[in-house]
Amino acid sequence: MTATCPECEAEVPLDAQTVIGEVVPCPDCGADLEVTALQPAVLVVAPPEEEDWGE
Amino acid sequence: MSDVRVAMLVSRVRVEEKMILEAFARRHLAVELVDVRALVVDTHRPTPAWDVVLERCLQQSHAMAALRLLEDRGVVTVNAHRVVANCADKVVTTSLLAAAGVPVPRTLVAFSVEGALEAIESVGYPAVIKPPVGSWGRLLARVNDRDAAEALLDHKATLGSVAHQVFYVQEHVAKPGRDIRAFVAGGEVVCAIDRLSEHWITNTARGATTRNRPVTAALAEVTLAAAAAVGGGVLAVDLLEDGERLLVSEVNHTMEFRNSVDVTGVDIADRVVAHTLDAVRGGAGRRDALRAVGA
Repeated sequence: MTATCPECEAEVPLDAQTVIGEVVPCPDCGADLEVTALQPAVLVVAPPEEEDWGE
Repeated sequence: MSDVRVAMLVSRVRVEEKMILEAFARRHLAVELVDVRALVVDTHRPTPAWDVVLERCLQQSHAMAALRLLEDRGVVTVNAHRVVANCADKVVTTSLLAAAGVPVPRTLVAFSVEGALEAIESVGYPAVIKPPVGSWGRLLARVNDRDAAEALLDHKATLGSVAHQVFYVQEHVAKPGRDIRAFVAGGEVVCAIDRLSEHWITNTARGATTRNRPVTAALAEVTLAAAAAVGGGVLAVDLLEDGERLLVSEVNHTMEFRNSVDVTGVDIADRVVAHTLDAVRGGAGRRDALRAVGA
């Protein structure tokens, strides 16, 4: 399964265990991409880290 | 327990969330994955029929609001809202720990630049300044002299949000190139790691490496005391070694553990799942709460 990087239009490979909400790096441009749909897979640029994110 | 309705509340599915999903699957338990960004809670209607919600959000503000709403509608939550509230703000955490007699680094809280400067001079240089809300080592500062203190405080006062106008000042502990993270689930220390770094900030998010740390009686005692002080649950307690003393620096309520499983040999995700199931067994009756809101 692959999806298109919305930043650079590269084809990003996704393995069979990929779930919605996962973040994957684009192998071409390095952008962090969030999986928002599967079958077909859709990627959006992941939101940037905010001040109250963490453990 | 096969009829337990479990949801995991997330904002991003990290390695840890995938490990937890796999741990539920190994127990043949279905889990509804709920993106907090898609969650809408009507305060006059019952929530979806979950018995227990495991909260794994990145965003603490979202986590705390969602947990409060779910708990008030009879859903058992892990961790509980009050535990997250106690851990999310370092002022609250340290206050609770110190009041409970848990050893912590000397910490002063000030509410003005002048007060913060006085606090820094009181603990001496180097001093550590942390944002009350924050994680992954973000915006920690080690202040080595008065010039740096004045500059840092001026920047915080001018550029920071209101959240940065509460100044959390702590003595610097000359730890031996590492700190300790101890994992707690269900009132037990399940394992611990050393986090090693040449940098004074030893978060794995900042590149620290990990190795197994044997859980001694002394480590377990301080760790469990810290966990109890914030209300218990699934927690990661961070400790500093000050000579022979162990000082608790913080308690994490939505812990990351991807770098701790291989080195400890402990299936931390499964311990999280086990605690979640224990919580729902001992939790408040959902039906009673639903009746209370007229469902």
